[in-house]
Amino acid sequence: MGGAAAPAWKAAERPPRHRPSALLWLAAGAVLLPALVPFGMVLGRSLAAGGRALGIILSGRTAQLVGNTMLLVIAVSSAAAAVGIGAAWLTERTDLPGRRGWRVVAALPLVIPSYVIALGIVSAGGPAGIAREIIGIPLPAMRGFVGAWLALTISTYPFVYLTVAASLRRLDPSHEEAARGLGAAPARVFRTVVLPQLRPAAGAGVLLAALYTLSDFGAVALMRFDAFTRVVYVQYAGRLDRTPAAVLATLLVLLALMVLLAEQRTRGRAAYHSASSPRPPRLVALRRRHRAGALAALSLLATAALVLPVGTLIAWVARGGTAGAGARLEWGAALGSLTGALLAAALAASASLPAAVLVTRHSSAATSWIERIAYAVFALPHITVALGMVMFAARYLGSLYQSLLLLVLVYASIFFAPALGSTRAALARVDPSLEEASRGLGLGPLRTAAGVTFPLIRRGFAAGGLLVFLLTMKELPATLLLRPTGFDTLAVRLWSASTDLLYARAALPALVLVAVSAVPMYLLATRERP
Amino acid sequence: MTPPAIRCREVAKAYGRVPALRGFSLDVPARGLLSLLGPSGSGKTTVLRVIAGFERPDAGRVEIAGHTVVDDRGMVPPERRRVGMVFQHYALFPHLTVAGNVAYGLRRHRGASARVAEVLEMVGLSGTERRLPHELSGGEQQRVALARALAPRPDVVLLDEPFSNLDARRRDSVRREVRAILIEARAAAVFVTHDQEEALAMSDEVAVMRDGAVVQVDEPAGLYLRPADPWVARFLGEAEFLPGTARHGMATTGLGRLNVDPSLTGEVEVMIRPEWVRVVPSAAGSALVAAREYYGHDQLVTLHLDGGRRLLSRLGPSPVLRPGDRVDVEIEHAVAFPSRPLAAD
Repeated sequence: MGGAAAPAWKAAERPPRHRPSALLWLAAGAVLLPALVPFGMVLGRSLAAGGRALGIILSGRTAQLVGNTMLLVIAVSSAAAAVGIGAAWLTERTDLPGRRGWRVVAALPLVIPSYVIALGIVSAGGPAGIAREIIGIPLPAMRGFVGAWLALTISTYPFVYLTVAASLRRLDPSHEEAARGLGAAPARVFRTVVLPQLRPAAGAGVLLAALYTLSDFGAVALMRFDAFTRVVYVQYAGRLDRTPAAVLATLLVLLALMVLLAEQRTRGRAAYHSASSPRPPRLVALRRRHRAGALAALSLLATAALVLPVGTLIAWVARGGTAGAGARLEWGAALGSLTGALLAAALAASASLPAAVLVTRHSSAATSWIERIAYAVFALPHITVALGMVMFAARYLGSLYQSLLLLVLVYASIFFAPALGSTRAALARVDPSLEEASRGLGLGPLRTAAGVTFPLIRRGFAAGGLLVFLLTMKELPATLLLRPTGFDTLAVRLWSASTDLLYARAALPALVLVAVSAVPMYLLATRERP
Repeated sequence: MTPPAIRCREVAKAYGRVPALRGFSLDVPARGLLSLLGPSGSGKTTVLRVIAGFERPDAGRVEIAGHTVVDDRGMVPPERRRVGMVFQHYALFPHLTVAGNVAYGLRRHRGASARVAEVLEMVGLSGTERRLPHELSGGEQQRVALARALAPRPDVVLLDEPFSNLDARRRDSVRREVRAILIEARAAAVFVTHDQEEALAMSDEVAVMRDGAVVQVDEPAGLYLRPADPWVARFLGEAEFLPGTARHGMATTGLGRLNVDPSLTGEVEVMIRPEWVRVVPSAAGSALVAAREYYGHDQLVTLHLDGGRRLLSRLGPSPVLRPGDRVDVEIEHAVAFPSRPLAAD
């Protein structure tokens, strides 16, 4: 108080909902540029190639590549749908013993990078596999299509599982009771009432799985399956002429964009909700025979998804350790991972503040595009971003090419969506009248933001940073293409060791990555509950 | 003689350690509407869910149309009970059209589409077959839910708080429609409500529930005029209680001697409803008009008696009374309860 004079209102400050300043737009847009420019670059190169690009697109090899990729996408999505829906129903709607534990187990593959799962699978079987040393008989080698299919199904079924389980929890059980009351036996109720209502959630989860499969680089590269992302990389690494890689990368983005649009459309159509908050559903009592079958199925899933990959890696580390060679942690690579991830997290989280203000406090058609673009950049294949950035930087950026700064800018750009989502959700919960009250008490916009808004959104802000940290630690294609000479990360070490079939050397960085991913995931999961 | 549509005997059900029903017994006649009336938490909805087969009682027996559907030996699953249920929030399948919803229970019936048209006509919704539930108004959704329940010609229809989602203005007309439809469908119906007026207006019989058991079953007028205890009396409508002494069918109270149940002797609580208090303007009257709420079709008058007691009177639109007027009071009807188990809330 202290006798402060009534604030002299400047006209521009008075209305609580003043127009967003250009500075906000600039800050929000700038962080996305390092991803958008490469897309433009790749597209531009393809268009400039003209007839040659058309020749590449129409070639038999490209047709086979599209066929391979679509086959993988369809096989992975179908398997992910079956596993995800089945596991969700068992853990949410039956009296299966240990449901809570199974729920955690079923979601757990989410914390393991796809290429770590692939590494575990590929290094278990075959003549060079560890299974031969441990159990004496070689497991069948799983690589190529089958290996990629298995690794990616394990990596993506949790998307379906989580969306379907959430949807099952929200379904109004009176629908099922109404169906029973109208004479339908439980099996018919599931088929005609439950399943159709799960369709929006399952569809969204399956499309997410498809998008992930299309964009994934690590698993198909380790399995040496010629899907789009791997071929783009091989073309890039094997030739000085960037045009074929650019054309294929453009084609890949177009494919992914189609899946992305389909996914966004299912999102827009609201899921079926009951108006009331539903009672908890009644659990289906499994007969003893069915219960044994369900437990066996879930145990098989846990074995394939967790025990096999992680167990194989542990076995490699143990073997390497006794042999005195192979498995040792490169501290340089660990430091590289940490540095890159910390810088990217700090940058993305800071940039999420102005963007979140723009999106929540000045919501309009234009601001919603920020979110859409950020999400598209996050979801579309990062190998394309990396390739485009290599082409752009080599030509226009001089000494910035292959610098840590550029790599971090790209990281922050491709992982901006999760940071924005987290900060934005926190900001949306802050009542704007709190800020207005602060302004009314005479504090300026910056002091209001620092003294009122930021303390209230701190947790969401930190969670966003944590997510970016986690994602950057696991990042592979952009790091491979853009890292400065001498800069190493755990993911890169793992990749190069496993391409040389030095599985023992790849295993330890892989396990460290699993542990590093698991800790922030645990923190996020426990923090979400109020 | 036809068996009752539903017979419940000593049904008990607890959720964890919270009892919902204890020794619940009730017969629902083969025709007509019975409402279950009780405050929230009295176990009404649990009764419906036990009858429909969605809950298994801890003890007791339920028969539907003479067949035992649950007792301590086993239970018939809901899909084989021939019971139609109308849920509080209707529970229409959001992914099916109106026709799809109504036909859902008709899978094994011949001429299902004719029956769909027939029940939709009955509820006045012909022409909405291809609409989706969310495209209908609340009242229409409810009639679809009713049509869906009636389509397989169930022995009994159960309705859980069927009118609670409708706004007050629509409620009266919807109630009349639903009652007419149920009578036309010749099914026995049980409906749950916590609204006294609704229960009295809708039903042929009302079962009042408290703490998981039936306190009184009677036709609406019997319930209102002869409540079984002071709690039921208060629950069903406004009531004043006067202490008195009863002997030979007469109770002596502060308002003079009133006719009561001749079986009672000794200390009593005499219950008087505002409608039973007649007033006659009189300059030398024994009561003073203290306040008046004039509703048009009737009026509620607060009287101060000379003894210092307050009494409410509900009158027709006339005579016109003003605060300060003196009136004579005449009690048309009174109900006495023995004093000991005092009115418990």
